[in-house]
Amino acid sequence: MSIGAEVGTASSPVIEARRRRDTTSVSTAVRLSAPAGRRYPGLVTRALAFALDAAVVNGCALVIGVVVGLGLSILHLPERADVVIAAVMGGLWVIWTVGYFAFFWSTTGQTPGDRVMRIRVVPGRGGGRLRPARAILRFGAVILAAIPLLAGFLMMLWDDRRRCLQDRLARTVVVYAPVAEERRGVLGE
Amino acid sequence: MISLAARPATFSVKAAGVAFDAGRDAERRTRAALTAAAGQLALDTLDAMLARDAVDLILERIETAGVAQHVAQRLLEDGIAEQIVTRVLQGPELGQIVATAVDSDRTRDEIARVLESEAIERLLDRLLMSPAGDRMVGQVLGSPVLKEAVARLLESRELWLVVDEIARSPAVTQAITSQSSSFVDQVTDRVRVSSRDADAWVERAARRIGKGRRKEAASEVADGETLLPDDVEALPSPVRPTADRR
Repeated sequence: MSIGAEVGTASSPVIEARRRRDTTSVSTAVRLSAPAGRRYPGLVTRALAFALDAAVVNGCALVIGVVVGLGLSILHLPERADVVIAAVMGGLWVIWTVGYFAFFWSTTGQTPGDRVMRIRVVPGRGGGRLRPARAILRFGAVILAAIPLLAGFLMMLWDDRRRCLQDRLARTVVVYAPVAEERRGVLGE
Repeated sequence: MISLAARPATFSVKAAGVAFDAGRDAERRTRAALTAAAGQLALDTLDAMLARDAVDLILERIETAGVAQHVAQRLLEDGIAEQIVTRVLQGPELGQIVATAVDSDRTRDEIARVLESEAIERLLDRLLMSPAGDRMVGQVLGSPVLKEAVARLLESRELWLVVDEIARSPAVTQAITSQSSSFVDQVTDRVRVSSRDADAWVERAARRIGKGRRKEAASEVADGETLLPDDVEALPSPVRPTADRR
């Protein structure tokens, strides 16, 4: 994905910057040519938002797991049934986790954690919302980004638009969301 | 003979009795007639006086002569007024009078009219603005009666029932919820600001590591956004931030 394609036409400041390497850097041109009001949150803000989401996801899963476990504890099930139930619950947990992120990213662009931190996931080109398939792809990329000792996340520290691996793969960016924009998102724009 | 001699005497005595009775009846009738005539005369005189506003004249003369003041003075000096007041206060009539007055629509209308008048407002303004008003308020607040009343009020069960009702009211509940949400908003706002500062710090540290010990010129732009070192190098000199800004 070329930078020029992301930010506009061939005569954009990015292309000009590439031509005039000695005057303005490409990164500056990308940042200055970003749409008005688009500012990109950093590692800590996004980590806090993700931590809040993880707390919500795992908290709900924990409550449901405890309730189901207590319910099943009064039943005398065979040993193999416990394994099956654990596998089913694990599968449900995966579906719940993926669905949680995919649902919020593809509807309002904000998970509850993102909403607290006032950030939003938007497509890299233009605005609008992510499609569900793209949101699922982004979540898969999150897992990939975590595998190499979180290097997929840390790469945002050297990215012009603070994109992680999942942002690059799903062609998304995370931006700060003003309060008014959050309200429009809730109301369905 | 004696009998014959006594007859005239008896006759004369009887005649004298008859004459005495007749005279007494005549006296009674005359007195009754005189009394009726005198009463009629008095009533006629009174009617004539009333017809001529003589009462007003009489009252004016009494007032001019200071009779009313003299009577009032005597009543007060002799303790008669005090006795009257004591009697009124102790008697059942006062309660009946007050109850009748309170139940009267006219009384309520008059009280309402007086309270709504501007004169009352002026009076209250003057009273409150005057030093005497301050002193009065101070005395009321410092009086043991008020403390006692407050203590009794706090001990009363009805007060706490009212407090419970108020605390459960939707308006109060909504106000508390709003206050709590505003507190949460304050906390999250603070966290957001801190996280943006931390973003910039982590980014600077990462670039410092990535670029080795090279001079790091990252700088904040527009609310937490950080310029890359190359960006800063490329900026015109008047715009380029100094190292102190870090």
